[in-house]
Amino acid sequence: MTDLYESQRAMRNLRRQAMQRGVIAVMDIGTHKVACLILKFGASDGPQEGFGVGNMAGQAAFRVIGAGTTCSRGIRFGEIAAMRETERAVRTALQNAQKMAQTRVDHAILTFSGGDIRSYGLEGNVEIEGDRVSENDIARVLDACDTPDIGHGREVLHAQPVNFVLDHRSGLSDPRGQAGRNLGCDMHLLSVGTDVVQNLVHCLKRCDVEVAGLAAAPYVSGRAALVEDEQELGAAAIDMGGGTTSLSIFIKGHMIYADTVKLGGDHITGDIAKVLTIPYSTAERIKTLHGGLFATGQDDRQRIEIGGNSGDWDKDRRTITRTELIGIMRPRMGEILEELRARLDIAGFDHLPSQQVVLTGGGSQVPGLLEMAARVLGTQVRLGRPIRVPGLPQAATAPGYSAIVGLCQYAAHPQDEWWDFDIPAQMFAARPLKRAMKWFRDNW
Amino acid sequence: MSALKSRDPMNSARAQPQGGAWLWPDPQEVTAPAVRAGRPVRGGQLPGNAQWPSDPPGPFWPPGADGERAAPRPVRAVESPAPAVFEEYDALSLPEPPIRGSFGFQASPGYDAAPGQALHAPMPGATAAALGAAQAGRADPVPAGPAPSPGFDPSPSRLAYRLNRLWLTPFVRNFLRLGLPLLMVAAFAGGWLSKPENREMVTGQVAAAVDWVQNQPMFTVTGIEVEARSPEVALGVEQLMGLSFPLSSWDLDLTDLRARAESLDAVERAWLQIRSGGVLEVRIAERVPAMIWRNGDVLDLVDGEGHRVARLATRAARADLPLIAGAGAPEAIAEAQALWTAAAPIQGRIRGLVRVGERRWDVVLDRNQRILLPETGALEALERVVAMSEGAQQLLSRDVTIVDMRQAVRPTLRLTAEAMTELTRNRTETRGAPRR
Repeated sequence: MTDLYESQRAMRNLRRQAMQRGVIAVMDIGTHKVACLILKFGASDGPQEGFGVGNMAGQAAFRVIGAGTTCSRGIRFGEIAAMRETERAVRTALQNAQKMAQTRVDHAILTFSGGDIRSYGLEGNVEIEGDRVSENDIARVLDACDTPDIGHGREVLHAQPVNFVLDHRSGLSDPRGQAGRNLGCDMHLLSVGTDVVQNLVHCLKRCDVEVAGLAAAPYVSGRAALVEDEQELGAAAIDMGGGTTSLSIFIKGHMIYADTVKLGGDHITGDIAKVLTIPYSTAERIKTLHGGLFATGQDDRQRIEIGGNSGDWDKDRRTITRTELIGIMRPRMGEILEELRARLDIAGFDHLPSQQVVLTGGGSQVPGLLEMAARVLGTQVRLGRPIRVPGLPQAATAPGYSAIVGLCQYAAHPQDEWWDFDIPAQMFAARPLKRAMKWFRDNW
Repeated sequence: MSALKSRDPMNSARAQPQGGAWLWPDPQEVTAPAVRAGRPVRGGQLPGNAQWPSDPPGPFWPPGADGERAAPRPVRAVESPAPAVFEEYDALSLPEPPIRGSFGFQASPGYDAAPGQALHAPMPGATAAALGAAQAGRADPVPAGPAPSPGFDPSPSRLAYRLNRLWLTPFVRNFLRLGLPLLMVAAFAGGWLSKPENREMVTGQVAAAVDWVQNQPMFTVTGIEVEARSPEVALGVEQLMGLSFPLSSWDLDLTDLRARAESLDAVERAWLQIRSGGVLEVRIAERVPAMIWRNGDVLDLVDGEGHRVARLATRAARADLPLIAGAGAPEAIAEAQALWTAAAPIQGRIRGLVRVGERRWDVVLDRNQRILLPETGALEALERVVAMSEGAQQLLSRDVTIVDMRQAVRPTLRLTAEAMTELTRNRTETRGAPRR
């Protein structure tokens, strides 16, 4: 755990260093596409009051100066399956973005949806030392959270304090300076498979770029697709990607649950390709141009040439109606939505005060998804697009880019995580000099 | 309508519902054209004798009246359906345009879609209606340019990627764009100049160019014109400059020439100017002699500031000017002039002023008389002497050799020997003292 603590702190230092240099890349390594944006940070006036408690809070003012997107290769279910291929895709996206930005970047923040994300709720409780809550008390209560057994070969990706309890008062976001006796804390912890992260970091290292941060795709796409009141009142963001469909639940501005379903748009494409025995790329094209989920009488008349490259005239001349296409797509989409419903039930989404569901990601652009999702997930469903970010190209405002746009926001306004708070003073016992320094700092 | 009726009678008969039975295909209904997927496989025009596929639509077509999907296909006679249908379309019933080129009927062109794309291009013989039909049939955008070959990889190689990053590094970029060219130019120039013959060539070329410019007619100076009060000074200045004409105005150093002109004692100040027409004009302000200085054996004219003006051959040449003598006399010429002015009543008798020991003046009169003036207050002392000589006392008319005014409280007179004898005799007679 301390190892991770150190590595996350090192990453955060790298990020701060990159921000001082002014340029950082954010990358979304997905199953369907690899996208890269290059952010330029302006002069920051330092941490501001009211932006949180962390050291990085309030470093605002960025602009997207470069963007590159390429079809991803060698990735299955959001995890690297062929390192060389993935490296080529990352190189393509990075080079395009660098060419557009006319600058080179050495640090990148990554988001990915693979690695079997699991979400845990933690809580801790301590008696505070003085009569008011101090920084050290916060550190102690965070330290007092009992770490669950996250399993072998897994590590913590996010550990965000989402709630503080002071005596009988709950729902505090910043208890510092408040009077009380007993301080409690709820923390949301997200774990991923170590090997998946290691592979991604190694892949980026092979592209001469250092990883300055990692974020889970459901978290960042939720940050981009949910508007503020939805984040406050409670909502589920569903990011329908190529290989995975991820899900995150927000309430009171914090993510409290995240999960992924290993089904996505690529499975629908595969179904079409298999049923019609056509190439995968043609199936993808038919899906994006003519796909749908609800058939009407007009769809029976609309004939689609499915083509082929076999040289057999009869096979290459085949046409299908749009109804047939919808008949292929609909069951798979239904399966994905049912799976999501199950995950939402596990998370206890029904007990939330608000039942808002926001669909985003490239797969959410299928016509008719809104009606279908409303039948499965509840009535309050809407399609979400990413928030507007200065300098974002028009091509990157589609729902498929909500993860990377959320990552931009995450890079500019990172949420306070466990490792952003001070190490409690008790852990300094072996280092008396540092402790003395801390005493001097606190008392002078 | 008459034109329609004049066509195939069988077709017009088919268009009528027979016995109320619904006949398919309904010639009044326009079927939606099939939408292409993937690559364009066919142009808007069919080459040769090709026709639209005559196979009937799928089993779902047409939809049943009650919306039933699997309606049984209506039985119909398939004698020659396609031309009959097409004759209803004016656009397609027109004569087919000529097909150019050697491409024949290609049912399934491969990735290399050049013939298919050529079919899309407007052909010279095609009518406007046929073109419109061809464009209406193109639902999907045709990818521009040749399709990528199957082995095409858009990703940069590792080396290309690294070189690109290197190129985007600001230092490297600035160096390559600015520093390296400058360095190369400097290196080439230095290498070329390191050979002495090259350097000589450069200097020779430069000198020739400078020479050519300086010898232009507008820069030529052909003569000198000296304006001075006396022709001697003008001649002297001209000779002193030592210029030989014609020469270029670039070669004339006017400051140096002016210094040379002013080095002549008689010249107080010189103005030099190269006038249009190539004339060097020199205007001279001469010094005005104020006194004559006897310096040892020679006589020099000096001006009011004590500066030497010219040699004087004889004193009689400038009898109007007062004479001064003694070492350091010109330095105190201002005092001498004041004394000369103060001595106006006795000017006729003054032979000159003598500077004694470079500190005080003597006024030398005729009849070997001398007035010794003090170091300070010389003017007042002289005025006293003049007053004494001009008044009732007639001091200087008497038998006095020296009037010594050096001690202001005790002026002293030296008498001649005869006068002294006479004075002693007078005193003895007056007092009645015995003669010694």
